[in-house]
Amino acid sequence: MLRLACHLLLALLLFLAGPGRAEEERYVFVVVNRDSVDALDQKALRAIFSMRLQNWEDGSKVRVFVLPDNDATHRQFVREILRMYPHQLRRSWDRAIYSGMGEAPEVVSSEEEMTRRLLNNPGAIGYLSEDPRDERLYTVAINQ
Amino acid sequence: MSGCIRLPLISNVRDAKVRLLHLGAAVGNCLRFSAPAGSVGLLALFIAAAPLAEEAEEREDGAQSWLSSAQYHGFLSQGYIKTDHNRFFGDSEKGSFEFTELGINGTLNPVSNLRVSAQLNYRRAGENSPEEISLDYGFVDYRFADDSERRMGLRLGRIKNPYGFYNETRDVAATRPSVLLPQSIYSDPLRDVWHSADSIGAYYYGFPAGLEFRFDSIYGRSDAIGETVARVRLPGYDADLDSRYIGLARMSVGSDVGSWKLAYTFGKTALDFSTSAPIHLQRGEVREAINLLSGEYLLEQWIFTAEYQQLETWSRAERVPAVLGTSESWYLQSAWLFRPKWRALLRFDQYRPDRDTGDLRTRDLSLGLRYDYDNHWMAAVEYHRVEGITWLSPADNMDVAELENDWQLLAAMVSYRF
Repeated sequence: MLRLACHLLLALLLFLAGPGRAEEERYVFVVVNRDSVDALDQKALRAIFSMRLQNWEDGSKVRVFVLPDNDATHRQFVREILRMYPHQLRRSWDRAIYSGMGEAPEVVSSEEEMTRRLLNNPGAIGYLSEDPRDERLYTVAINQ
Repeated sequence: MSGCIRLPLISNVRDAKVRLLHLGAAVGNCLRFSAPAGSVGLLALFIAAAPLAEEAEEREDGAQSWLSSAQYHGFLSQGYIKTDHNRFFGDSEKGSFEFTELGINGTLNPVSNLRVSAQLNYRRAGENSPEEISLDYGFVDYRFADDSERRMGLRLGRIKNPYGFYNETRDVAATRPSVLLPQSIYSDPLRDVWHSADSIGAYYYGFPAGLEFRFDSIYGRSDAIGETVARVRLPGYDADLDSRYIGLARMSVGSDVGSWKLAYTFGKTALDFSTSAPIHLQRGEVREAINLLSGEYLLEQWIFTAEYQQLETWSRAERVPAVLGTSESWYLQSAWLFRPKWRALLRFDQYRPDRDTGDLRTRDLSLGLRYDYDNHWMAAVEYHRVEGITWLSPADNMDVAELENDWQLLAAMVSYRF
């Protein structure tokens, strides 16, 4: 039985391994509910989304929102803006929240919910695949 | 003891969250709950809390109170183990479900720079676990400095030990590279020995250009060390082991994007013991020292990991000369994330109880497959081809004469977390 299971596992692996699909061209906009942040550099963004930065410069609390791990916009944001890997961020969040040493960003289910939560929370930061139309939200320029 | 815990009557979401966060303190006063009554209570709490988590956050939009900083999370995993010979986590030769992990935690910042965190835990691992609900961690964390360049502070309470790459969240299936951690270093039967301590901890994290430097340390005591050694190593005997102290320090350096990381862990502990076991050690002391090197290299679709440990054991008993021995453990592991939701694992793990002789060596070749359905659900299955018996638990295998040197193990697990 164990031998059979081993063979099945291998077969499944070979079946599933294959070239990944190419993704269409899309854009990601980093968005904040706050007017005093015009630009952030990549290092600051990494600190924010790794949950290392707790407060903005004026002392108000940073509240971080993200889309689910498998969402295309999330994957693109992590790869192209943060220059990290989605699985890496997920692991560091899980390690923080299950050891009591830190927090994880709040996960929203869609970009509509992301917009709504960003609007409702002063000091909130997130990202969208479209430039937000609401004037209370600001798109952040990113200094590389 | 199960009368000690009363499930909160949840009248509203905020009320539930407050009660949840107070639970950690209540458990400390209550000592421990017996299973299964306690575990059913914890399970009910888990089921009640999971759907409330999102709703609670939604309602607190815009709230600026200290309570709005609160977060709570939990995990529930059920495993299955099948072996062709030898027992691992219960009667695995027939197929065992005695592999359950359940936890629920809360954290909040009542004032700036201060964090309070606690987690309740239930773990079933064959004959190796106490099968009680226990306070897994519960501590206060004060940060002296906290900005984008560095963070430093002190923790006080029951703290997870800074030990290697996986110890702090070893009960959370999603944070493990495999269903079973490499047993040479992260022994599941002896999980509680190096796992957590009632201690004071100091930490410093620095982020100089392009790098991430981390230092974590603890110093304290742990009653779980003696209880675990007595239960797993000396089943059926009267054994009394008292922890004198445990101290650990871990330093790590890596790139700030986390593409590589190197870590060194140093730890020491000492125990006083007296036992009725028919061995030459009746009463005396044991000291252990750990040196552990860890390394990781990460690509978009690959994670390569290696750890090497030497564990020095010095023991002395009445009327017997002191004994010194060093064990050696290491593993090489690669994970291949071949699709966004899928990953495969290949690992070679070796344990030598005495590094000076090749005797009693245990080698484990593991092959695994994992599927992450979403942020909450995952399932994993893995196959182990094992040669050797030295990391098997005597508590699960009371008849040593029946042990087979060549054996195979199949492990499967389904896990939910929020």
